Amino acid sequence: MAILVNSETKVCVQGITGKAGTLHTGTMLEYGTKIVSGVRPGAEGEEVLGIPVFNRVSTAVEETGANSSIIFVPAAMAKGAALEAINAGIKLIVIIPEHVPLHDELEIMQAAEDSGIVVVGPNTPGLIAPSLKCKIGFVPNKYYIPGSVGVMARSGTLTYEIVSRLTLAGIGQSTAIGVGGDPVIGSRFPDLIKKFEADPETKVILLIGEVGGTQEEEAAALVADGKIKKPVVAYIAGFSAPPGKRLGHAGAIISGSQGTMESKLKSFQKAGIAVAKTPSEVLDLVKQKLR
Amino acid sequence: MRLLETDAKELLSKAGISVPTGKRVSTAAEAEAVAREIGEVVLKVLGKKGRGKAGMIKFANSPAEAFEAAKELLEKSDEGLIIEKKLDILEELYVAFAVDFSISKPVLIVSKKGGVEIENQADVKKIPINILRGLTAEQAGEAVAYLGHAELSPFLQLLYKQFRKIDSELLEINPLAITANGAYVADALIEINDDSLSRQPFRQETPTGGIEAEMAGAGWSYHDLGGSVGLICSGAGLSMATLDLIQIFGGKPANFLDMAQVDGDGIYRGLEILSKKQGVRSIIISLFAGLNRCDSMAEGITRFVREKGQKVPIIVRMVGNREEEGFAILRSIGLEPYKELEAAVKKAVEVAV
Repeated sequence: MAILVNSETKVCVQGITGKAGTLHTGTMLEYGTKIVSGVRPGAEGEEVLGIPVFNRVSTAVEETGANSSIIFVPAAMAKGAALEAINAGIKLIVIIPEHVPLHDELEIMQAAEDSGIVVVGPNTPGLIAPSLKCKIGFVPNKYYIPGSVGVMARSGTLTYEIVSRLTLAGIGQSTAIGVGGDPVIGSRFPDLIKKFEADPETKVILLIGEVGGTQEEEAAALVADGKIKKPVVAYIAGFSAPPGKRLGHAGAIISGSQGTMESKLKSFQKAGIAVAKTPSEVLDLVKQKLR
Repeated sequence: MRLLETDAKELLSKAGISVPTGKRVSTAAEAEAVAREIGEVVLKVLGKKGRGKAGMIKFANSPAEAFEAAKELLEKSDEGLIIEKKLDILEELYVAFAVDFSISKPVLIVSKKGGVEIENQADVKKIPINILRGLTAEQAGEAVAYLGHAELSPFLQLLYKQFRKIDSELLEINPLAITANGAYVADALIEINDDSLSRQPFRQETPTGGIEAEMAGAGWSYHDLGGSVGLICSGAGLSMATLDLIQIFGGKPANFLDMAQVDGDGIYRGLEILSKKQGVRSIIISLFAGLNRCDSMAEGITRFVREKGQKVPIIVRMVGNREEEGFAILRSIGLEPYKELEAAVKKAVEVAV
């Protein structure tokens, strides 16, 4: 098993006729993701790579049984797309675009909370569950193999960098999730670490964080409280980032007493979480914990 | 994007919120003229933090005093001054709408201890808001009861309406001055969400001239860090991790750079801009081709080296899609690429000394 997805996961691609939507519908299908429908207002009756297109998510759900969706629409339209998916009864929504307006994100998260729906992103490469051959996003799947490391990360390229080293060493992943680079996102480290704890396929949890925000501290607090018993390995990028500077991700803004590298390292230490100083140390620590 | 105090107050005033009579000035003579019109005034340097402690706020009882105060303050200012009517303050409160990222909700924050930096959480009341319902009458009532000013309910509603309307990340009134004539916004800090600017009337000043402007013009996220090891990288996380390694191995990074999904032309352009930067003694190119391709990026690098030469040593570390093809292209001009990130960074630090 994996987390967030299972063998019943059927995906609807919102924005399937756009360039990125079509391209990654192709790469997801090739990998094995069960894509059952796409949505594009005005394009009902068409097909993209053999996938039927509908005007509305609700029709796509009725006609094809979609229970998950991936959103490839432009940032300004992401709110409308996400709320439509929520109202149509979709259970898992992965929001790909970056630069989604903050208040739109807040509205999406409130609606998702009210309806008990899981959101991943925005500004995420998505997620991948290698044992199910299921990826919802644009994660380069050739660097991922099935296994028992649960990965949650804030950055795309850094995750590929680290996961590819695990994969080269023959260490696979249960599920790997990019939580997204924005300050307001759906699933966060404290949510996902609980799901990994409950997932029988996951033996070790790998957290790839960044300075800024409080997700790392919140996850560490769950470990310190004994709510997470599985071994956790962490790597945090950005100790050399000057305070207060935005380094690409708006999420990496250092503010308050929490959010700094010092605060994160302290909370990891308190929780007994092994922290890697370099990407190559991640591999060593994960190997140790798997023994 | 942060609004200047004058712009923030103009916006609030238009929304029906009381702000002191005042103006933005850029000369001492202007300040003198304003003081002649409105009497006792306060002068504050615009666009700076921690102004009270830094001596950037002055009071003046006469036009002549205002002239002198302005002359002094203008030396500390880049954006000019705000000069406004001095308030007879009975009480200073703190009111802010912000976003609590840990719960993904707007929050109303109030305190009876306005005017200074609030450090003690015990002095603060935080009320999370369901954004789909808005600030409810009960919530506003709870906040004003805590403040001991029941009359402020409509003010809170007006303020929340603005917070929503302008896609604000932070709308902070500190202090909210209670006077005999009602509540006035004595200082306002407004941050507009950058991702919302396309649907807002506010325009952000972009850097003009220099490496910052050129990098921003290419659509990349760049920061000057002042050291000697230059960085070409795609992805914010990998860029930060590479910077960390530069420091771990004893080097000083020259810059942060996230070029996102870059291709060969982008790498060429990045090298062109970065090689102009003073103090750069080596350049590390740190790439993981997840969606893009090593061969395309290698072509950009070799084209740059063929045309412009290597004024400073260029160390290339790339892995990912079409890695072998990329390596062959680099080797064709005698550039030996690294597979291991740590080894490449070590080399870049070594040659920068």
